[in-house]
Amino acid sequence: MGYEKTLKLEHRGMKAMLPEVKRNAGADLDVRDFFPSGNDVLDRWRLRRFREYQSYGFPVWRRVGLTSFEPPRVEGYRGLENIDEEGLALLEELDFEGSDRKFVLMADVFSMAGEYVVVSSPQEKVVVEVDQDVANSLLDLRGGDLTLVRIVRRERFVGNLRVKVREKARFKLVNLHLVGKGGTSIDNVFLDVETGASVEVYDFYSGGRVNVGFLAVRFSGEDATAKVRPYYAVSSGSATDVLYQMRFYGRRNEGTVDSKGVVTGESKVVFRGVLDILPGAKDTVAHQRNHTFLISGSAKAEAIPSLFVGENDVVASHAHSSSPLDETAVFYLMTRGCSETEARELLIKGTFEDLREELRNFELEAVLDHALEGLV
Amino acid sequence: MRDYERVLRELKKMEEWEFEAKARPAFELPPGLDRKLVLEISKAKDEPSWMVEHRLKCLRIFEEMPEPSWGVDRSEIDLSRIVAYVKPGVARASSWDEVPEEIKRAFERLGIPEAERKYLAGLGAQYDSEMVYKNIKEELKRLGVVFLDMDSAVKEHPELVKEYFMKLIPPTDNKYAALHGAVWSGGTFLYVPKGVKVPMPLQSYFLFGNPGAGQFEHTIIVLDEESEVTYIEGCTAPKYDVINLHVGAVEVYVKKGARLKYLTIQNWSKNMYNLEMKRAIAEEDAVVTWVSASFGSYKTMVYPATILKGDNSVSENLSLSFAGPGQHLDTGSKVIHLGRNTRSTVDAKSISIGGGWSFYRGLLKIAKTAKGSKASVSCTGLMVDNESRSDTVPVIEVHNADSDVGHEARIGRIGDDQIFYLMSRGLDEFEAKSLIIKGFIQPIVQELPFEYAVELNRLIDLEIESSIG
Repeated sequence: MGYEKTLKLEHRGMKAMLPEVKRNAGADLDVRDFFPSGNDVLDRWRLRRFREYQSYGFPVWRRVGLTSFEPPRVEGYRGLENIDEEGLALLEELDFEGSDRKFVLMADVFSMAGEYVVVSSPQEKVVVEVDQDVANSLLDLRGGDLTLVRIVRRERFVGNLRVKVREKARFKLVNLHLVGKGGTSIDNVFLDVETGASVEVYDFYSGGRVNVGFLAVRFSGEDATAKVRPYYAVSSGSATDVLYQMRFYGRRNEGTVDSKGVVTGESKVVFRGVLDILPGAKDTVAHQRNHTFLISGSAKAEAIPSLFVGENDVVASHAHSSSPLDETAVFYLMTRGCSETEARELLIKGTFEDLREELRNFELEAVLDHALEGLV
Repeated sequence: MRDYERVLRELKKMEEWEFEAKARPAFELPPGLDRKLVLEISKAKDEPSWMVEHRLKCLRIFEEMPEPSWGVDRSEIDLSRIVAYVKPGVARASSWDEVPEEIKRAFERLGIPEAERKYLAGLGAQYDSEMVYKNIKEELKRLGVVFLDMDSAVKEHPELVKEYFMKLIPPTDNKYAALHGAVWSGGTFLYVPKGVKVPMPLQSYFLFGNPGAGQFEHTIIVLDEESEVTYIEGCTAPKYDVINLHVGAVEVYVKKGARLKYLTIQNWSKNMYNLEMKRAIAEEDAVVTWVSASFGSYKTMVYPATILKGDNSVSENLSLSFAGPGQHLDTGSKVIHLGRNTRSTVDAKSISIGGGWSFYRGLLKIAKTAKGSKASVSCTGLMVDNESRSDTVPVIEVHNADSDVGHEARIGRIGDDQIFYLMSRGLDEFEAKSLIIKGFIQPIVQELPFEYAVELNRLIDLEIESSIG
């Protein structure tokens, strides 16, 4: 079975060429790093993936300055060891390219943390802190209402999270990436949304030297909704590169990506968006928005908000903007008694207020405050 | 509502529309590309040695450079079958009476000489690989305006040409730039002296007359300080059943306080690969306006670019791309802000119909030095039917915190409520759709000189009539 490509640029026998990814052939994980899981069915699947894994070098990502990648140290296997044939079929169904196929395969083959979970309870809230450098999880949400708070607080990280949100199920993901200074994190999240289901995502990126995120929502059914709220706080020379993809197969789905963030110091953010509406996905509503506040003279913001539309009965838009902090707003707050520093701090923190509200439900506001400390 | 199948048949008929272009060439070089062919082109033009060396250098770069790995699928281009140089059987003329009947008829079908009489300050007409006609009004000549075909400019103004030729689009830029440098032929050289404001547009028209040919014209426009000009470029070809290739290059130098408006009406036939490079550099207080309307070609890759080098310089880019059956139009814009307080706007509109694919690809870059700059990019796609596709992929790079940048894109169809409202005011469905599409392209049309706006509206009427009528 083929995997879900991040970009599909073909139309009625015509195709567009895609730039080749440059790859390097540095040190890599090999067969000595392949630890059996104890589940033969899973291991046969992992071995197939391992062969594909070996066919790629590590990608060179110019925009975030990733020219080489030092693979993590693998000390055993943990992740999907309890998976059965049905779960493996689901894994195949949710196979995807992500930010780069190499890293998706790395997490599939060499994970040291993760779970295969089938959820059908009416309502559940789970907070998980990922405790290893490589993680791979699969959630099969068969009904009910699940809220997952996933915290990645590592020096380095490569991870996959696949979620099947079945008919009428509700899924909320609060995904916090708090990468250690100088670290590299590459996270790939793939959500498949069936008819009548709903998804809400709060995604937060902070820290690291290179912090790369990919989150895809595939609308395979009809009448589903997805609201994705990305936030980023990029400082201390960090380069953060995030890609949010929504692909619409079925009818009457509605997806929005509403992103904002702050970049300061000698740092950089790259915001990528892909709204891909396939022929037949009638009555789709798809919107994507991003605003970047550039706080220092050396901060950089790059954006590639793409829109691919193969169906005309849709409403689709994207918007991107970047600016310094609004000096009028700073001035207004100063007339109300704030010092200039306080005024700026208030405005910057205000950018993340909706996320803070969400985190308050889990008493995790301090996590956000801590991440923003270096920023203000 | 008229039958959709009939609509597509009408569109097909329009594709097959042919004007007479039956002039026999004086000679054509064999297809393919090698050192011998490049030397023969140069020999046919009796070029100075520096240009011969330049061509050979470009050929070496071409041979070494890889094919770009992005854009439209170009696998059907077989350079070994493209005839790079076709010399029309006519000497260059400065009077229409001297142009041979067959070529004259082809241009007259396009209304070219009439346009010159009515509202142009000068006109150039290229047939295949060479300019066959070039003329400019006497009063402009007296003011020092130079409007020549590129081959004559190489001989008559070698120092000027050396200063500007392939400096903005160096052969190392990409494989097709190198190809162009090796086999270029024809094109325009325009120099407007300091302070001269040319009151009427100048135009060059490019016409293909041979199947399997390539056209590689090179245009250089230099506007000296505080000068102004409007330049119009038009292109047409009859349809053949083999691939034709157009790899033109346009280099524009706009000095301090000068203003250029560059209009393109591209109506190549549907067997044409149109891979054109257009680049401008604007110095302090200069203004560059690109206005492009693309209707023709099989596959297109064109991204007019402006480098805003000088402080307070301005770039405006308006484009309309009309992708019909079998067409893949990959168009866009590039703006690079280097100077302080520079301004740019991009307004890109596309219409996709009958299975056509319009693809907007753009780059907006605000360099660290471009403090106080403002830029906005707007892309709007109209999908007239359900067979077509419309994509936008802008790249926005902001490298200083003292600039404001905004981008928005929308893709959709004509709203039922819009149709309903207009029909409630007495219009039938066709009239309502036609009115909405004309309103959609109005920002482009209003930038054209009046006579061209009328012509473009007529062209749009035809397209709409045969598409949604």
